[in-house]
Amino acid sequence: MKIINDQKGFTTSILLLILLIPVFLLLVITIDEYSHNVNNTVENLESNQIKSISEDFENEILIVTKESLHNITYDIVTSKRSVTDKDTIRRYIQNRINEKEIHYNNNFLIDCEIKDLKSSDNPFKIELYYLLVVSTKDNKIKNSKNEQKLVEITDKRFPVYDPLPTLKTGATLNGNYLEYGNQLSGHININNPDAYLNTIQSIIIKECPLSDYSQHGNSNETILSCLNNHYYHNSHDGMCIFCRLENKTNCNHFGFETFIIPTKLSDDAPASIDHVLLNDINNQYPGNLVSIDNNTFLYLDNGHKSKYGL
Amino acid sequence: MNNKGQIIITDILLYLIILLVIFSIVIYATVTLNDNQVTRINNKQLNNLLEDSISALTKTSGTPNNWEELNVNKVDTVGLKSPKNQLLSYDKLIKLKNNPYLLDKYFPTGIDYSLTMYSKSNPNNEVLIAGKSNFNNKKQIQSKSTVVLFDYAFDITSFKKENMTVYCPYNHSEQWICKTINVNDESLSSGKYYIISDSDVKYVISNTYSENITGQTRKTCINNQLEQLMRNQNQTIFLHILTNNNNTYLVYDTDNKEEFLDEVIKPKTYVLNMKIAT
Ligand SMILES: [Zn+2]
Ligand SMILES: [Zn+2]
Repeated sequence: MKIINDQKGFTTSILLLILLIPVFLLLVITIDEYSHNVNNTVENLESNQIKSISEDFENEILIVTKESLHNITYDIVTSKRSVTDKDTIRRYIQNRINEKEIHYNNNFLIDCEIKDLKSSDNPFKIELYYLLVVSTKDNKIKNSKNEQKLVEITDKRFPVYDPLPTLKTGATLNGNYLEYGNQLSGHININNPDAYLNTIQSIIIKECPLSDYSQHGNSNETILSCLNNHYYHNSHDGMCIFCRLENKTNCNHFGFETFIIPTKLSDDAPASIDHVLLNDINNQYPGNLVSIDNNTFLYLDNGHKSKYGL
Repeated sequence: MNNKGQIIITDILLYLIILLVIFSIVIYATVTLNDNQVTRINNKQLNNLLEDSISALTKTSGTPNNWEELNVNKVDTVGLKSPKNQLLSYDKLIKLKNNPYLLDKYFPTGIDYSLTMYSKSNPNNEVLIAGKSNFNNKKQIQSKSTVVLFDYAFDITSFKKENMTVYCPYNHSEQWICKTINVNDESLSSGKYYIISDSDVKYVISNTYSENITGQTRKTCINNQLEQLMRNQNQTIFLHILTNNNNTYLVYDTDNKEEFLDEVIKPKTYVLNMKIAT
C-alpha cells in the first residue's frame, strides 16, 4: 500500500513542522531553568566572597597602619625631620592601602578611604577611621563599611619609635638605642645638665606591664626590669604619639612618659622623665636622687616618686 | 471504484493515527518532565536551604554576636562562629543545645531538620544539638557535614620566643620566656589559671616584691601559688618558664572547662552534620 502519495511533499512538511514546535518549547524551558539556577548560585557565592574579602582586607588595613607607623617613625628618627601634620601620615597610609587594593583580588573591586587618625583614651592605641567598599566588577553586589578601629602601636612585629628625643636633641639612633652623647645635656637648661652626659635610651615604644605603677617600688628587681626594658607609662603630662611626631611641646591628649636614666651621681639634677628633660627651657624642673642599686639611680620630683612608689 | 479517494482516506487515517501517537508521546513527556522539574526544584531548594543554613551557622556569629550570653528572647539570629576567630564557639553550641527551638524558625513547616555533632576520633558518639533525632515517613533526606574546631573561650597566653628581648626582674637567659600577667582577687576567685605544655617545663612565679614559687609541670593549676603571691588587690605577676622550645601556654578558664584544656595544645576536630527532610 502506498502510504504517501503526496508528490509535492506538502502534507509531510506541515506535519513535521507541527511536531517540531513542542520539542522546541521544551528545549527553551529547560535552558531557561538551568541558566536561572546558575545565576542564583553565582550571586550567592559572590556575596559570600565579598563579605569574607572585606573582613580579610580590614585585617590588612590594620597591618598596613601599624607598618606605616613603624616606617614613618623610623624615617623620622633616622632623618631627624618631623612630620609636618597628621594628614601626611594619613596620606602615607592611604597610599600604601591603594597599592594593596590593586593586587589584593583580581575578581573584585576594593576601595578603602582612610578618613582620619586620632589619639585615643589609651595612648598606646590610636583610633583609625575608614570607609571600605568591596564590590563585584559590574558593581551589582556591593558591601560598604564605615569603621572606627583601635590600632595598637606596641605590636612587636612593627615597633614604633619614639620620635621626640631625636627631634628635640638631634641625637643619633644606633640599633634600637639612642646615643645622646652631649646632645641631651645641651638641651637641658637648668642646674646640673651633665648628669645626662652620654645617656643611652631605647626609643621603641613598649608599654609597662605593671597594673599599678606604684608597684615599681616594691623591689629593686622590679624597677630595674622596667628601666632595662625602657618601658613607657601612661601620663597626663607626657605627649601622645601624634604630638611627638609633629614635634609639639604640649598635647591635650592622653600621653605617655618614660624614664631617662642619668649617668652622673649627685644630690639633685633635672628630673629623669622624658617630658621634663625634652620640654621647653621654662618647663624643666629638678628632682632628688633616688638610689636603686650601686650602679643605677634616678632623679625624681615628689609627684613622680609617689606615682612609681619609689 | 474510486482508487484515488481510497488512497486519500487511508493516508489521512494513517497520518491521524501517527499524529495522535506522537502528540500523546509529546504530551506525556511534557507532563512527566514538568513533574520531574517540580521535584527537581524542590530538591534544589532543599539543597539551597541546607547549604544556606549550615553556612549561616558555621560562618556567622549570630546577632547580637554575644547572643549566647543573653536571654533567649533577645536572640535575633543564631550563628556559631566565634567573633574573635574562625573557630566555632563552644559556648554558643551549648546554648543552642539547651535551646534547640532557636533554629526552628529557619525551616519552613513540613520540613524536618537535625543538627548533630561527633568527634572525628569517635564517630559513633553522635550528639543531637537541635531538631529531630529521626525522620520517619519522609521521602527525601539531604545531609551535609562540615569539619569544625572549637574555641572554648579560654584566655590564652602563649610562651613563644619574641623578636624583642625582654629583661625580666631575674635577668633570665634566652632559654627562659618571661611574661607578665595582672591578677586581682576577683580574677582569682572567678577563674582558674593553668600552665600547660607538651612536655615537662620548669617554672618560676614571682611578684613585684621578688617573692617567688618554683615548680615543674606539664599541666597544673597555679591559683594556690598566685594566692600566696598576692600582696595587693591588683598584683602584677611575672611568670618565668624554661621552655626549651616546648609549646607552653598560660590558660585562664572562667567556666570549669578543664576537660578541654588539652585542646589548647592539640585541637580536636569535630564534624557538624545537618540533615533536612521533606
Ligand atoms: Zn614601668
Ligand atoms: Zn624571668
